[in-house]
Amino acid sequence: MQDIQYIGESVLPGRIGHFLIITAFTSALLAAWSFFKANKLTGHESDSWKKLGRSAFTVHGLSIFSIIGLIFYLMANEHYEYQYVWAHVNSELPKRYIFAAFWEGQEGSFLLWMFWHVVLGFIFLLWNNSWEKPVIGVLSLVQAFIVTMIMGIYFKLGEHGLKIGSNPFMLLRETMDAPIFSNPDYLSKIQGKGLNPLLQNYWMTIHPPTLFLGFASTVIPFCFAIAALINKKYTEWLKPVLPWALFSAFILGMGILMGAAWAYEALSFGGYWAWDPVENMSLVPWLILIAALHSNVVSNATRYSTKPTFVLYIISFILVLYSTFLTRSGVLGDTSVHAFTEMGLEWQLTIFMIFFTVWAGWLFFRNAKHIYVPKEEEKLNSREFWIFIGTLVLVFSSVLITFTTSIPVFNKLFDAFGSLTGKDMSYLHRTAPTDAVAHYNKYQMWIAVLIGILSGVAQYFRYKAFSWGTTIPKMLKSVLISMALAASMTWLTTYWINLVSWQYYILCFVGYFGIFANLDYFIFYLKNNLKLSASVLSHLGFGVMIIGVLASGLNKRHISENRFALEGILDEDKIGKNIVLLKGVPMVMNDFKVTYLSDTMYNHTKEFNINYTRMDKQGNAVESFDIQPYILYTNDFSKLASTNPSTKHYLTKDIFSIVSNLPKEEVEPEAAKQKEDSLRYKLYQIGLNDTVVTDKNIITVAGINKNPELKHFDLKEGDIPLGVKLRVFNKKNDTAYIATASIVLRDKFVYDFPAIFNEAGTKIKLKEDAAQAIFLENEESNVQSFSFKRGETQEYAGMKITFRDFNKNVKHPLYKHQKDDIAVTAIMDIEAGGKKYTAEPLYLIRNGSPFVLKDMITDLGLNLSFTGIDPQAQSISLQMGKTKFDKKSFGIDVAENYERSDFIVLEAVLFPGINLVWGGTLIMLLGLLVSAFKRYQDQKV
Amino acid sequence: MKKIHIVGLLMILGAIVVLMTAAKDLSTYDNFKSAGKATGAVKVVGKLCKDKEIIYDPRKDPNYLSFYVQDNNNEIRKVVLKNAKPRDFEMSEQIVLTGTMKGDEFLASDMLLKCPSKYKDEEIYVKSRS
Repeated sequence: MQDIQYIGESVLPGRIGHFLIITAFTSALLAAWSFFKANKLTGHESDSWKKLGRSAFTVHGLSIFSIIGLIFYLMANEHYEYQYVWAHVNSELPKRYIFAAFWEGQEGSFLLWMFWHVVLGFIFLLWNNSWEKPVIGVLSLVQAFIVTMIMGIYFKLGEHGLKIGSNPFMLLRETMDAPIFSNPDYLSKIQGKGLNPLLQNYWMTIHPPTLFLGFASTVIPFCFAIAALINKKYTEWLKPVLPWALFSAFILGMGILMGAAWAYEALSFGGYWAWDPVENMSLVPWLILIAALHSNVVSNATRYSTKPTFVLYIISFILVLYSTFLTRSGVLGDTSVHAFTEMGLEWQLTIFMIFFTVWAGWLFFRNAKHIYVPKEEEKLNSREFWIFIGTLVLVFSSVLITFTTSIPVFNKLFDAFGSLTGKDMSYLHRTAPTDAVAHYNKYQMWIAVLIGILSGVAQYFRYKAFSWGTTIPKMLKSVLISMALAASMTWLTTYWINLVSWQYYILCFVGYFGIFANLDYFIFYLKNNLKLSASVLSHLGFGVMIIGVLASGLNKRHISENRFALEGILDEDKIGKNIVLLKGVPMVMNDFKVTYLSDTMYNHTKEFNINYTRMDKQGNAVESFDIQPYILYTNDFSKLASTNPSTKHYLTKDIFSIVSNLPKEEVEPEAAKQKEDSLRYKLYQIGLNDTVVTDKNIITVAGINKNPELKHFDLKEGDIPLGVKLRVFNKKNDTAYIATASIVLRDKFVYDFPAIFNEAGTKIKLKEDAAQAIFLENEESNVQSFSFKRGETQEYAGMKITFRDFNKNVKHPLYKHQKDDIAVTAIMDIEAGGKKYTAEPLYLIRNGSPFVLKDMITDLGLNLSFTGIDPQAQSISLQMGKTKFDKKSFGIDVAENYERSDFIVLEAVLFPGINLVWGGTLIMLLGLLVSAFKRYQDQKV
Repeated sequence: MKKIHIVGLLMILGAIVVLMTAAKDLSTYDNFKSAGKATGAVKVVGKLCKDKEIIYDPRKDPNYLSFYVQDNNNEIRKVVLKNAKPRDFEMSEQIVLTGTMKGDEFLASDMLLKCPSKYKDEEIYVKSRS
């Protein structure tokens, strides 16, 4: 293999890329070393180390940017010699998805993560503050670890090789052993695998960068905490860290929310939150970050809770690492819908995680006794006490979620222990809960109740506690009023949604209490001061979100059930979640009359147009709208890649619809073939205006169509398309149906486009001799030549034929414009039997040679060919011929055991109050953003 | 003892209690034999018998899918899922069923498929519930 000179490969970018990776790694180590040195020393020496650190970090950052740029370059130019390019791009992939393709793979997402670390690092350096040295030092060390994930170095270690990282610049032929690589010209023969069609949407472009910025930004508070421990400045960091941590909580929350919106809007999951392990492990670091923020605010104001602030910021970053480990090591394989698989990086990720956990833990415990704790404990009526309780609740929530999510990890640990001790530990294995959603909701709803109460009540307390006498009466009044309002709103809500059980009544009440208490606090305590509104916004948003979750989650229901049709026939539990819609046949579904109107196909997408008409009790239509769910075929049309919902949005609810199934023959070529084989065709001879009587139908030729509509077929020049419009009268249905059977002649091949009469259970194919009968017969013997001047009229076979004008704007179905073409049609008006027709034969000069594309008036059997232009005589030459197809008959193949395939299986779900979920969460996150700005401004004071 | 310590202790106690009860939700995989004895819903892992009949005819009932599964003890049972047939069903390598035995049949309320993906070397999962 070594000796082969491959053609067309460009290996230089790969070499540069690998060099850049090594540079990024060494410069990150150098930056870390220099910044730590600078941090330790003072004065002039410190400054010069700092300078070196800055340069090294800049080199590191530029290397990361260049690596990313280089991969984009390779992807944009489809350099399939690179495994990463081959695995994620193909020539059919629209260029706008190149970002999505970039971070689809593990290596790309590691680069995205590092990219944000670098960006945050650069901003931190520009921000220019006294924390630069230790913070960027720690950040550089983190970066050094992540760079190893894309390093791609192999060591021979005994029998097994040891792999450090996976290099995105590996050549395809280095990663797999295939016979094609013995061909020096293999590159011209391969095509990329391309991006999973499921991921070809704008969500995949915007969600990962947001989420990764969220994950990446948790590193800054972590660096601050480590820096404070190293420099023994236990309290000085509490203020400068705040805006960074608030921003991180905002953007990570945004990333999670986008993921939920994606799942809800574009995927077939039928909901926004499924307690999937990957979702859980992005939520948990956020919860801990929120706990850390509260702790931070308290410690900044009172010096209470300083230790928890350290611990929580450290844990939130460690949890990001743990989350990375879970989603990338393949350990979640059995339990999650969207985890990556093993790449042999798990031990590397484990070391990464353990290193920072042990280092941070060691630093913390060594310093813990020096961290200032106020002598007097928090008072029961102080804000710091209740906020602390709140942070404990959040931690509690995180522990529960992490515990259940980590079951596959526990199983692996049992196995590891078992293999050490030689015992079979597999009896200890557990599986994820049978009903994950019920399992998590059962516990987390009480967390939500506690948070709701605390977020309302804690607002009224002051830091360092006033005396009971002055605060209590005013506070009690506020709390009681909020409770009264919340109780009445809960009662009103029961008219809108079903709260099912007492637990949910409590949750609903608490949600409203959170809203009203915070409104009250804002109006009567903060006196409508918007600058101080951040915490009010967040806590109020949380309350709104709770109400939204209750409405949309607890009261989501399937409306795709046909009770009307099935009542009394089937048991209640047999009324399913899906209904069948026949094309064009309205179906009653709850309050709606639903009709599958049509479908359109473009590229790999088939879109279904479905009409919903809402009826009142009298059966009058009160509202009507169309929705377009779609399915996506794989690149080779061998099966479905995905089926995507369409949602009708209202202010108070959403109607979510998805095509949950299709006739097998519409999806699988194999099933289509089987079905075709099962058809029993019978041959009949038929002519124009002729009728044949079959077992089940009476078939009449209703007309000829020279330009029939052909599904999934592009006409080429020289093709001869022919459509025969057929009228099928079904004896059983006592109804007539019309459809067109077509064929296309291309060179020696015949392409077949049968007519399908679903309602009549009939499929009709046109025989090849139809073309002979209609087009080709007697053509030559019958042709006469004419010369026309503009506006001139001549007679031919009883028809009046006029040359109206030239048309340079050519729109012939068989003509495709090429560069330097000279193409013109002659507009010919024909009058025959009192009817008027227009034909446009085409005359074309391409590469100096003339071409003629004739036109036909099939009703008259008239062919027109535009054969030349005489510029001197100002005339055109035209050849006309008349075919007598009405005497000729041709064959049709008729199968009358065709099972209809024009139906879809539809699933429709009603989500009440879904906008409260989005709105509430956005308000909550907005609060974090407002707070981040305010805390940023506070820094300057 | 400080208030915070009391609260912390209560929290830890609470956590232990909750985790103990939560752990009950975590099941072990059953087979058809043990599923027959169980009272509640169980999880059974097995393989789809691709040579046996798979019935899904939306023209008759869009919410009825029946097929045969061979569990890890090589016992074969008919399984009924009251929902639409998920995509790539026939291609599944492994099936995790949640549900109960009803006579000789297993009535599934939830099904998790493990399918090899055409696009990636990794595997994807398709969930369906009834």
